Amino acid sequence: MFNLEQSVSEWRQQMLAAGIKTPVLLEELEIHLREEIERQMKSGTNTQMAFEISVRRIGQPKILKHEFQKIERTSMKRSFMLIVGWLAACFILVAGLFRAEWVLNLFNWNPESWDWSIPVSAAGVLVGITAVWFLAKASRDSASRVASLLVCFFLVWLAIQVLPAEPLDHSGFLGRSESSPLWYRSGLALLLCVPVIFWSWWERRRAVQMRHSTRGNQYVQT
Amino acid sequence: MIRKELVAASAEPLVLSLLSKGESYGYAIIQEVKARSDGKLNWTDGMLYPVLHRMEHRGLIKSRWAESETGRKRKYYSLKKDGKTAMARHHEQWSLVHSVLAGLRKEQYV
Repeated sequence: MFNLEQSVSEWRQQMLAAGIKTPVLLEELEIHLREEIERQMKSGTNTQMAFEISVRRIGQPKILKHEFQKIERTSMKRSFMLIVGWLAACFILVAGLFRAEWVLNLFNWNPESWDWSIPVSAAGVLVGITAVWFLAKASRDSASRVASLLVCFFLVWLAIQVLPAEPLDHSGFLGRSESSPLWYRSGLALLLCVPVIFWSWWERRRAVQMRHSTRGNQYVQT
Repeated sequence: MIRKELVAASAEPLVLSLLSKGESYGYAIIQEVKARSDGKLNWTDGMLYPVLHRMEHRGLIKSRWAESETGRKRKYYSLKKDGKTAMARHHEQWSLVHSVLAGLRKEQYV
């Protein structure tokens, strides 16, 4: 006599043996199996046949495991790359900005005190800004987006510091005693505002795409 | 029967489009795809779950456990903001492929 519960339990064991050990996943597959068995039985198939057809439809445990393994690997690799990327980008940006201001006095630069380490440091800042922008673009979760927005705000605040209101004084972070040429300060401020411009443009583009997709759905539903 | 490469490529846009109508669960998604394609789009049932999990990892959809009217536990999936954007992109690309194919076909008959 065929025992459905025992057969389902054996099928679960086969899945476990094949390496599908995540309880949530196994439960989801079992629910699917039971729904299919129920449907088969409603259409007149006997219990044993319904079970066999449903198991066949679900697929081979080894193939399923292989597919799930691919997701786990991709997900872990992606999370690792994003964390490393954010850490590296923030480190380059902060180190570049601090070195630029405190060691080379970059925001208060005078053309007469030209030094090759200044463009090198500026290039470091540029690399940091570009990396932040690319990471913000690649991040699909809201936490990364908020982080990228905060970095953008920080850069805008720095941009405001680069173009200080006269008269100049020594007070505050990045306070200066003499002014750099206006063209230089404006260029630097513009550069620091670039991620904000990109960020706003990118978010606007997403909003437009979403509006289009919603319109598409309404069309399909009517 | 549709080739398995095409079945695999169409899985994500189909799931996104189905979920844009409202939340659903794995079994119902498969049944709807079968019904809408007159059984010609034949997915191996279990293979839908890796697709759903991959899309969840990528932040396109989200899931929640709930009880159905029959008391059975089900994992319901719904579309996220990024999923809507991805769906729009898929529609755009598939429409382009379709229009190129249709244009070429039309030329053959002229």
